[in-house]
Amino acid sequence: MSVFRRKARAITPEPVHSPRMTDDAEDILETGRNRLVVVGAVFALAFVLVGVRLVDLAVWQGPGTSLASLDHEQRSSAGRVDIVDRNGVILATNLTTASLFAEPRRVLDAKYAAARIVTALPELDRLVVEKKLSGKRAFVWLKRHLTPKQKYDVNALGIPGVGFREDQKRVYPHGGLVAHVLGYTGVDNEGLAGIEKQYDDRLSALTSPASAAVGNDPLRLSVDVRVQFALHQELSRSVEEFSALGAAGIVLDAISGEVLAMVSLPDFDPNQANIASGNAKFNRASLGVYEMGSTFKTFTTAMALDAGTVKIGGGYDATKPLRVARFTISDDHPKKRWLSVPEIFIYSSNIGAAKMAIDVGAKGQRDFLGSLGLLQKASLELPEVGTPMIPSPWREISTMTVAFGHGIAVSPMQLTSATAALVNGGFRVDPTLLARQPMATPQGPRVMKARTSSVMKRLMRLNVADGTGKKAGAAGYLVGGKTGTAEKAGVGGYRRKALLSSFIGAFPMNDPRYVVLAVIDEPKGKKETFGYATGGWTAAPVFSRVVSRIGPIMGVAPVDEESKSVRNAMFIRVKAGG
Amino acid sequence: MRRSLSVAAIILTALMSYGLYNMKYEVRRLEVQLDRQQQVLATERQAVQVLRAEWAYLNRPDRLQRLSVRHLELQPVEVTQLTDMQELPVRPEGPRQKAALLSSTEKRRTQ
Repeated sequence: MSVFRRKARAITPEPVHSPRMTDDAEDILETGRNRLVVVGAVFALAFVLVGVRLVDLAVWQGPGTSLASLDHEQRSSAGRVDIVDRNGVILATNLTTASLFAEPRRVLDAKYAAARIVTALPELDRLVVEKKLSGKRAFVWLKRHLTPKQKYDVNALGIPGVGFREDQKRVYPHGGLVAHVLGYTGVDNEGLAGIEKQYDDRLSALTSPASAAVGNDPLRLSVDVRVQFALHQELSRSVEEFSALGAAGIVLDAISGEVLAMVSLPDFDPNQANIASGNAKFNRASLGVYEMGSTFKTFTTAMALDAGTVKIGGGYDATKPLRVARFTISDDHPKKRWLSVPEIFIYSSNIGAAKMAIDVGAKGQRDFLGSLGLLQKASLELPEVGTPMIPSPWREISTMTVAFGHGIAVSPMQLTSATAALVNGGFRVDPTLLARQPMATPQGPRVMKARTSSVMKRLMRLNVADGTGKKAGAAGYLVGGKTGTAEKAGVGGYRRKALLSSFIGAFPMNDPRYVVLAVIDEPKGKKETFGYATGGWTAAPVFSRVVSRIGPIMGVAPVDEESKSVRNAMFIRVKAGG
Repeated sequence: MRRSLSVAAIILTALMSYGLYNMKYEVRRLEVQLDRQQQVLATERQAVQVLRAEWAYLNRPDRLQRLSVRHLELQPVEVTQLTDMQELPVRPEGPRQKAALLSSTEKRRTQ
């Protein structure tokens, strides 16, 4: 009931007043019109904005970034940065090769396909290929880095389901020449040793074109291929001549610390590093640590002179062998008399060197050798850097044996850089394999008096002119240096026949620029050397030949060794008061 | 008036459509060309790379030494072959120098 009544009321029309109605309509129309205008204006403004933006993009900002500059070849240049020597000669670069892959699912007849592929690539094993082709995998490598001829042959077979993919292969045009500096890379171009491993991030940064501006610059090393070649050839010759186990050699810039050449023999071809033996890969120049023998007497002499415990005119009695505890220190070429400091140096007297070191003391010795960098790892940019073996505890007997290079094992690289400090005026040298800006004076901290360095230069010159290093002489280049012959430690003591013969020296001695080290591992004496295999007979000639060869290359002006000015500059009084 | 406006608008639209169409095809053509050029560039770069590697390979010091020994009569420079400018002896007086000297003294005399 109530529902009906309400409905009836709802349909009852309201009373109508027409004038009021027209007023309302006009108001509504007016509002509507106003709203339309506003909306229209907003839209118009939006269109104008879009139009302006279009003109802006097309005309004003028009030729901003051109399409041509967007490099489309990102994908293909995912390679590795080149490595060059100090003169820009390429030492390592990439070649694009083709790698053969197969999609086993699309291979129709695996047995037939394998038989055909082996005819083109005889080095592959037929059964292995057949197994790979009949597998369920979507993708499988058959062989990486094919030569163009091999690629052509495989293509000519026309086997379905087999294809090529562009690949980058690291190549070393110089083969084994710079092997131990460069190291080598794996099959996917990842650095596994040497500079390739040390600078793997920097070298593999070629992928993005954004970093191309800096990343594509080749890595420039301090090595000079010509010097490296001279050193390599002369060392190889010596290894062959004396049937040695191996050899190591370094040429170092005495001022900047740049390594101009670093050779370790036997070496390997980094293009085929996977077939090289561990012995060939071992870097004797920087990773191997050896008891260097008499070459350490240069440091002992410099230390004693610098500390002032003995004057250059002073000396020690070397009449009798020195007995300490159960050890006896004797000389190889005993003079059995009092020896002056220059005589101790040129006759390589163990007794004299030991006595010099005792006067300086163990602490002074440690400090001095440490300041030269002989007690810490060399700063070289290689993963293969050897940690020196130093006496611990450092007893009095250690002080005496270290004085002539036994009981302490350092890498040839450390020996070279420490010697550089002796001849460059007394500044510490940190060796580097990267090219540095040319410098006039050494940048390292001073480690000894300039006067000590000057005396050491004369002593080293004297040793080549009149001492054990005569065979190191190189006409015109005023060389100086020290021989070293160390017996290698074996089981239960030293082996008398297993020698490590070395020569370290510098040239030109009036203003040394280059330090050269030659180490021969276990040379065998022969008739021409009267059975001797010591440093003076084996390593010194290598030094001489290397200096004669690299002197002209490096632009060192030869001097007349007999001229008055040179003789005066190199003069040193050998016998006290004599 | 309104009709002519409409006609103008239609003609404008037609023209612009045609222009856009043309432009689009031009761009596509250029892109194809660009792609092709870049492929050529990549091939050339690869060739350069191969040549550079080969150059380094052919210039190995040991190979150069072998070739030099076989084909050239060059030998390493001896120290005795090098000298300083100051060490050079003074050039002996030649006839030309004498003549020049004479003429200059004569000139002085005439002055």
